[in-house]
Amino acid sequence: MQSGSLPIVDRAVFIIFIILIAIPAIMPLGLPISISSNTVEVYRQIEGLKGGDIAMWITDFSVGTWGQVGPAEVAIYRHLFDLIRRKGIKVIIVTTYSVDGALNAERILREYIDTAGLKYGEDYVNLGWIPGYETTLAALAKDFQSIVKTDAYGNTIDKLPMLRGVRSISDIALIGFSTSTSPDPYPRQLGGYNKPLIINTLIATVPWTLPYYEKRLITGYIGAESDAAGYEKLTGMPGEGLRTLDAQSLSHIYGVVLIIVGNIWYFTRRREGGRR
Amino acid sequence: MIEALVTSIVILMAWSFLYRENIFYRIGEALLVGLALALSVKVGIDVLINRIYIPIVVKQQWLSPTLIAVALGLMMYTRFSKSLWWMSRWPIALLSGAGLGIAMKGAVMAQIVKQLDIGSLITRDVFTGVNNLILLVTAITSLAYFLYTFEHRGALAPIAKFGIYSMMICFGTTLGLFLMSNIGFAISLIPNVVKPPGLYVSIVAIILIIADNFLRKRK
Repeated sequence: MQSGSLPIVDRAVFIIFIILIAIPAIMPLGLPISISSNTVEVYRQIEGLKGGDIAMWITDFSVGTWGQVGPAEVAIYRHLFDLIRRKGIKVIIVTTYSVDGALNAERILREYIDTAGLKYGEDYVNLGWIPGYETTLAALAKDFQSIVKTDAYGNTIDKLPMLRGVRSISDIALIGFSTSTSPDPYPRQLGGYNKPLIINTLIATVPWTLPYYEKRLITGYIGAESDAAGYEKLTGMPGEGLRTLDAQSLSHIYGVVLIIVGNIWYFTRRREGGRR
Repeated sequence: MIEALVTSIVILMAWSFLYRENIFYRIGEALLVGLALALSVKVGIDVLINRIYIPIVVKQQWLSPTLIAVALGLMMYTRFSKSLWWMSRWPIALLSGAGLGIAMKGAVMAQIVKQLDIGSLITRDVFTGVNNLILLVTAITSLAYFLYTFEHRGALAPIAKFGIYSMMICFGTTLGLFLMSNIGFAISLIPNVVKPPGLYVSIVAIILIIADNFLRKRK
């Protein structure tokens, strides 16, 4: 091994991986898509919103995890904004965890959402980052007006008509959040109110989420690009999820092959009396 | 066009570490840290302007609870003074106390009471019953492993051993899923470097790697 460089086997593993995931980006393979039941459940809960209902979406995932959480977040935003047009729902966007979430929300609104014809402050608002994380979540649930004084752009709450009647979580029909870290604070503060509570997160965070999902403290989850692709298919609005699904499938096959090859290599060496 | 070009250049700078430690990788690393910090400071200042400066100074709402928060925030900085550092204990104590209190209040129901209900072992759906049984057994055996007041001998030994295997399966699954997450990050970036204009940057990068390899061998 040269100094400062990776071993040749490691390099080969990464290079083959890059080639494999590059192929579908150049030539889409069109591998079949199966929509998971949890994705359908999330879609139905959001689609079930009625005219005048307020949905609050908490965008708390970090910029670095855009690849995993971003596609589904975009798909959900598109669905929510489509519902503003179709049914007349209202959408509140807010960030509680860190600056990153506010940057992601701003990026989605700027680059992916068509807000033409919608009235800011009446159809949707972006509250930006309200620092405090769990204490902010608790305040949003119990006394909304005490913590929300201005939106992301410095407009005071009295200039945002759709927020006038929002006093607590009881005035909100659906709550959703995206996170790339612990999901714990959200069901702790927003669960148990008999309101749909949806999470969009990393595939790695799904096992962390399941105990809350099984107890219905979280009522739906989206947890990977495959779920994002499924959601895009359900809404009929294709995006990043569907575009990267072939690469995902190939990379998982590659992962399985690597595990098998690695185990064969390990046990062969062990049988030959090599180092354990 | 320029945005796509810059994106692909920065991606390849980061990935160049797969070839070897190099100046482009270090520039990319410094760029990431610098930009992340700059953005955090920028948004932080925006928040201070919108939520503190405008209401308190511009609108002159002096008698608002925000002022107490500002005072407590400023007290944090007394840590840098040898004579006043004790004042920083107050906001820290308040933050810890309020945070812990709010978290604990929610945790009792969400993370303790509700989670104690494993569900029936005899259910209409056989798989749910089996799943509940697995939950019960793995929870008890994993807890048994952490019983340090008794030596793991006799009946406790196999129970604790089963607990270790349960945890190993859990950790393995978590690790595998983290790997899947990381693969997802790479996949989301790859279209930037295999399609024009990123493709041209990739070609330049490959030529640079070949040239560097050739020069190193000659040395």
